Amino acid sequence: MTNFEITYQLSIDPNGIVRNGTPYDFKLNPDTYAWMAELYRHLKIEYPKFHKMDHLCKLAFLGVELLKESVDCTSFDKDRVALVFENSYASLDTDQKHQKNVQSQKTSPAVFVYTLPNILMGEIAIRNQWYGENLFVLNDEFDVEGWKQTATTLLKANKADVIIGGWAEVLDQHFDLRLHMIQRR
Amino acid sequence: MEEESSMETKVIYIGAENIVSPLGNTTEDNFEEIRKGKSALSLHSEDGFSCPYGKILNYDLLPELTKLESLMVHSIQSSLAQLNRDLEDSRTLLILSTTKGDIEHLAKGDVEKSKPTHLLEQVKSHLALKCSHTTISNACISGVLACIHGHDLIKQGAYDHVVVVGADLVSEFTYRGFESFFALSELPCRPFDQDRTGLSLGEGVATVVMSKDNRVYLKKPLAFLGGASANDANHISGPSREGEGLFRAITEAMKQAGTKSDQIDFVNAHGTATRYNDDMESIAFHRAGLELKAVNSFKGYYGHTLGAAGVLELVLSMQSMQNDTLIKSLGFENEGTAKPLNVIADNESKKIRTVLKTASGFGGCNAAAILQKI
Repeated sequence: MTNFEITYQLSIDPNGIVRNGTPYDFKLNPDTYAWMAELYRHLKIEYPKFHKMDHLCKLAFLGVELLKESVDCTSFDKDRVALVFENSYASLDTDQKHQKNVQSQKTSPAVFVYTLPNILMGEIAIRNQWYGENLFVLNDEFDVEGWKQTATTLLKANKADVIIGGWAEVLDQHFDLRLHMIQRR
Repeated sequence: MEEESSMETKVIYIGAENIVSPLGNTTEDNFEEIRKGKSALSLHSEDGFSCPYGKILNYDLLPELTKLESLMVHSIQSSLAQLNRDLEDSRTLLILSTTKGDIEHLAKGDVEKSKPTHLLEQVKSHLALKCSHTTISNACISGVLACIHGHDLIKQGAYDHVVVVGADLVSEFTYRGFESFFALSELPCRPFDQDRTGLSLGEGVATVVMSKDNRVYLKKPLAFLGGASANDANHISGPSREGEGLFRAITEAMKQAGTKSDQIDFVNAHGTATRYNDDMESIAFHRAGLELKAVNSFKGYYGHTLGAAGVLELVLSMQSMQNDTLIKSLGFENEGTAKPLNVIADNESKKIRTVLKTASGFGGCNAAAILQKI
């Protein structure tokens, strides 16, 4: 019988970063989003596209970079890594910026493209050359069992070997990432 | 959950379909209009928009509901009325597929009401539906993806029935965004034509009922054989030049469905009429061995209805199958894609058994699904 197990967990919220139950050594000041660029430098990432992303994409992107620090993802079949993310405010953080631009008649494609929540999966897919399934779901609250049930649908259908995803929410000063990885055992 | 895989259901049905659009409020009316070559795309300068789009003008605004909520109520009611019994709440999932929901609320600064989950709750509460619900918001592939996910959930025994409603309107928010990309066409869009100049937007709501039980339908349903999605892993706002993700999605969808490319009778493409999208699709179809297959896009009739598009176009493909009619790709005159395609230039009677539906969207996402007559 096939068994699917959560093999990795990471959270990033105003209280800090916790990886597989252990606090990660990085001081995070939640008052501004400057910590995102600081964490990027701390992780010694060289990926200029990062700086163009909105906060929601940066949050999920950094989560996956932290995952790659402790899990060797290079052996994954690039067609068999699926991304399944969830939140409740969709892309409303950036939607507000675009709405202001619309009202002042200064729209920008660089902002508008981030008015879809699934863009964060596109950014992760590009960074890692992961061609697998994408699924972005909206629910009012995060229930890890519910997310696991949605995500394992792809494993049971044999469309993926690995699922990376979870809850990624940004709205104004609020941010919350609950990143999980599920693998076929 | 794992034990359920041993009790896999064989055929997943799809039917009880509805479309609410500028061309009508029933599936039959919509199909009749497009069969006559009628397009929903026209100028609405009263909105301050200089490019034509498909605007829903005739509808019943229900008390205390927004336009989109009212349209969704109508569409879901119309679908459920095509069933011969109520679906068991505990075995039914309602999925909303949308990109922006009621984003008009944001112009008034109301973030809470702008959440697509709020839209779905409003509609569910009006209809007094007690089943589970969720929302899929995955750019322009949302509708196809919602149906694929619904199929997989039923097949694996998580639910017996899944109702998928796709819904999006044209707002200042969306219009100005696409305008900033220089993606909008000043004339009604012309998918796959050499003179295509970009996309047109459109409003639409469409509903389908998927089930493991063909006895719930009043009219004979079709089979939804399965599907898949894949990412281009290339660019967030432009498609892969090699059609990488779409090719992979089609290949996996064929595998999931147990279908070979020579069994496909026609392909209902995404066909937005942007230069890059249509070129990308032509390349992906060639790579997938579908270069000779009859292909069309319904965007010339409705414009791009975003989160509704996948469901709306699946419904029109289902109608094409039920009526054994290939519908011409409106706006197409002269070949002009990177690789030549067999674009349907005139309506044609043809026995249609198996259809491939594809979609692609921002974020590099692509989806493909396969339908078949039973």
